[in-house]
This record gives sequence, C-alpha cells and structure tokens, in this order.
Amino acid sequence: MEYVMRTVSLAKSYRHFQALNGLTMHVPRGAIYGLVGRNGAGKTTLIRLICGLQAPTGGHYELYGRKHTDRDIARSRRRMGAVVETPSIYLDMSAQDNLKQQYRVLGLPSFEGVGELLELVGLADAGKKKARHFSLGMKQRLGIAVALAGDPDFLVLDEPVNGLDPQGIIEIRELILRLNREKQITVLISSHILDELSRLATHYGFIDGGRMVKELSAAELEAACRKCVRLTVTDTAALARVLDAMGTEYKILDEATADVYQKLNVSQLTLALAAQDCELLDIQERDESLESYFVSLVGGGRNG
Amino acid sequence: MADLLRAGFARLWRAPIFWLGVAFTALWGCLVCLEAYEGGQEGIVYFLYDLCRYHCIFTVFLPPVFCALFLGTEYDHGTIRNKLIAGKTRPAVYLSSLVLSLAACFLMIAAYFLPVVCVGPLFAEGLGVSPGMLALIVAGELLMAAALCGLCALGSMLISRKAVLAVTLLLAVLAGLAVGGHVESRLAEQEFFQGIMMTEEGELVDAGEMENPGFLTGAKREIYQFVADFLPTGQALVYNFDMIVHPVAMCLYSLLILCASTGGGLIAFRRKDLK
Repeated sequence: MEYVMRTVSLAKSYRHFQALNGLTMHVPRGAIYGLVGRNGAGKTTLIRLICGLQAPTGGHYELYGRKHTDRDIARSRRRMGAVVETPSIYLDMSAQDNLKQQYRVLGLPSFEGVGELLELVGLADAGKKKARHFSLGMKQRLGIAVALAGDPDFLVLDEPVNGLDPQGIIEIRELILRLNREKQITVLISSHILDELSRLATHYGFIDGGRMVKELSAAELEAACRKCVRLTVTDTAALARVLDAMGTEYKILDEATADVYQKLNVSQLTLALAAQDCELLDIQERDESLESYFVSLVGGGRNG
Repeated sequence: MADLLRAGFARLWRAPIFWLGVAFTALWGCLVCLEAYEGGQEGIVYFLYDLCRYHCIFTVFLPPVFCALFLGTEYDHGTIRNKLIAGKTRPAVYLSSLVLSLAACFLMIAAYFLPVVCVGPLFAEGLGVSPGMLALIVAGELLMAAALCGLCALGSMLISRKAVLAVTLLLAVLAGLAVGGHVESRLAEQEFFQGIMMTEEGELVDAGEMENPGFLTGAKREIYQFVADFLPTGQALVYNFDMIVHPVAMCLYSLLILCASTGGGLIAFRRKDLK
C-alpha cells in the first residue's frame, strides 16, 4: 500500500511532559484518515510535527517517502495543506484577498483558480466582506480554501468541526467528502467527535497517551462493531456445541460470555442448552458504536 | 524568500499602520520645516544638519509599533503557519519579516525627509556641516533604525502573543530612552560652573569657577559614552540633541546590533516550537 504519510516511533516532549511517545501510524493514499483520541492524547502535537511547526524529539516521519530530516522535505510540504486548530487567515482581508495572499506565498504565477476555490468552499458570494465578520463556519471554510491553494493532494485538518453549528458541521463534512471523491485528496482529520468522524473516515487511528493504540480500516472497524447478542451462560463449551449445531456465527469472549452475530430463537436455544446441562443466565443486544469501541480500546476513566 | 517578500509587500501596501506611520512622519517633517521658517523670522539660525536630526526621537518608536502591529499579526492570526506548512524555511520566514520591517521603517523615515529635503533648504542657512559628515549622520540614523528593527523583528518572531509583544517592545524602548536620557544628562554636565557666594550683607558675589563634582571623568565617562553610543535609544538622543562624539563608532555599533540580533534570532526561531 502506498502511504502519503508515515510516522515511525515519533516522540515529542515538552520539558517534563511527553506529548508523543513512540507513535507509529500510516496514512494510505486516497484515504480519509480519522485520528481519534481524547483531549491531550497527542493529536494536535502530531499534526504540528508533520506540518513542520515543531521538531520531533525522537523517531521520524515521512511525507511522500521523504524523511522529515531530508533537505528537500519542502517539496513534500508543498503537496500538503493544513488547518491547525484555528483557521490561519488574515482577519482584515476578504476571502479573495486571503487566497491571493496564499498564492503569493506559494509563488504561484497567477491568481487563476481563486474563484474556483471560493466556489468549492461556498464563499463565492462573500464579496469584499472582511474575514473578521465571517461566521465560524465561513472562517473554517476559508481556512480550508487557503490550505487548498496550490492544489495539494494531502489535507490535514485539526478538529475541523469544533464549535460549528449543525449546519456548519454538515457543510464541512460534505466539503471533505467532495474533496476526497472528486479531487482524490487524502485527508487526515483529528477529532474527538466520533459520530461525525464515523460518517467520513475510511481509516482510523486510535491514539492515547501519545501512542497509537490501534490502526484499522473502516471495514475492519465495522466488523469489530457489528451488531450482536451477548450471551452469558454457565458453560461456553456447551454453548459453542449448540451454536455450531445451529450454524450460527459467534465469538467466545471468556468462560461465561459469547457474542452471537445472528438473530436467535431464544426458546430453541434455551432448550438446546438445557439438553447440554447449561443455563442461559443473561442475554443482551449489543450495537457497538465507534464511541464504545474507542472506550473499550483506551478505557473511559480519565479525560483531558 | 522572494515569494514571501512579494506576499509581505503586497500586505504592507494595504496595511493602515504603515500609511499612518508614513503620514505621521511626513507631517513631522512639515512641522520641522515650519519651525525652521518661524525660527528664521525670529533670527534663529537653522541648518539642514539640524532638520535632518529632529526625527530621531520618534524614529525609535517606529520599529516597535510597526513590528508589534504588522509582524505580530502573523502569530495572532496564525498565518505564519501557512508559510511553514507551504514549505518555506524558517530562515526565509525570519529574514523576510526583517526585510519588511526595515523597508517599512526606512520608507517612514523617507516620508520625513521628503519635506525636509524639498522645502527645508529654503529656510535653512546651508548644510551646517560638511556634506560628508551630513551623509555619515543620516547613514548613522538609518543604521540606528535598522538596529532597532533587528531587535524588534527578533522579538516579533519569538513572542507569539501580540499584546505581550506590543507591551514588551514599547516598554523596552521606553526603558532604553530612560537609560539613554540619564546617560546623556550625566555626559552633558559641565566640568566647571560659576560659583556664587552670598556675603553677610546678603549680596551675591562671584566666587570664581568651581569644579562640578558630578562631572564624569576617566573610565566612568568612557563607559557612559559607550552606553550612549551603543544603545539605539542612546544614539537617538545623541543625534536628536546634537551630542555626536563618535559618529563612525555609532554606525558600527548599530551594524553589530543588527547582525547579532539577526544571527541570534535565526538560531532561536529555528528551535522555536510554533503552535
């Protein structure tokens, strides 16, 4: 698989605080990679590092196959755009002037494409209105437009829907999906709004305490979060024999519990278990969400 | 770096703070010419040399105000990140900011000199010094402004909070002026003063020349003179109040400050963690 970005044992410490602790991750080309983690997990630190705003204290990362210490890493950076925390825009300029300013920074020979970008992010009608008078959603979209100047093929968004109203969230989501589908832009999104992320991401990275807890694709996650019935019995060996006989898909979790992934005839199952000297003690329908999967991965004790 | 300069100058031409500075310095230049005209009417002689020095006292405020409001915005609005994410190197970002602040301050000073050069000669009684010395003094004034720009650019690139930056730079200049003012006043003390005695009848009589105990001599005077010549704020007072003793040394000190602050700033900015 071809990776746009790869980190290997990446570490970053601030005096006595270890923000990243040997983080290894892989962002495949064309993916919408959701970086999931609670506050303080290291999401923003990771994004600051890959954007070149800070230097790692250990490990390394690669952008388009170039190590961050390579002399020509700037060539890889030119292929990426990012919105880190708040959108980076001149508040005393209009949307169009902000884009023109970024075009100049990038050294682009003309302002061709500025109108198209404004159209893409839905700011074509903003006119001469200064960015300081924009709504939060408009600022966020302008920030994304600035990040898209120069046609990058890797977009990094740090908490892009933070503080937005429902309409703003939908707009940003649709924009990201359009960028990914129509322009084949690889997107790395950090968020702790898991429900929102689950509507977008094709790949996930679960991060906690500065470490990658688990990386998986949306399909793998879907399999892990499948709807199931959790049974508690006195003897799982007997349960396994009964379920095998019924041709039912299941997974034994421990000596007393098992998850069953098909609809069950409870009366039939109870009778079959009784015939095997096994009692059915509890039955629960489970529909694991991304949220509960995340909690089961990193634990739900502390926050921040 | 050319792209960063192109973007920076495009922003500069639209920055109200820059044009406000230009308007203020041009107005100051006009006022100085008017003062020379009125002085001429009252028999006070002004030379072009005098008119070329009277901006120094406010020139020290141009770099801190400009850097805090113009360069400080880059951190405040987060736009400095766009440059680094776009692959621009840190030295390029730092140096382009320095060049911008130098250009802006020189243009503001040029706005002062415009009326002085165009109208000043009509009211001034000649140059007042040799053309070479006048050129040296003007070059020294520009280098003093450049040294301040170097220090303020250093602050702007290392202090990420705009309000903190503005307060720090202005307080630093005010503190520098206070130190410079104290040093100048000590250096300006006369070696002797005329003594006066009061007789028993209450009459004041001449007591002859008496030594001023506050007059600085020897190594202490040299140290005070060095501080006045070295500090950009000290130089501003030296130029403004015509207490120039070492014009070449002052130019060299300014160059030294500019180079040292830029070198140190580049190293510190390279290591700085940006948010």
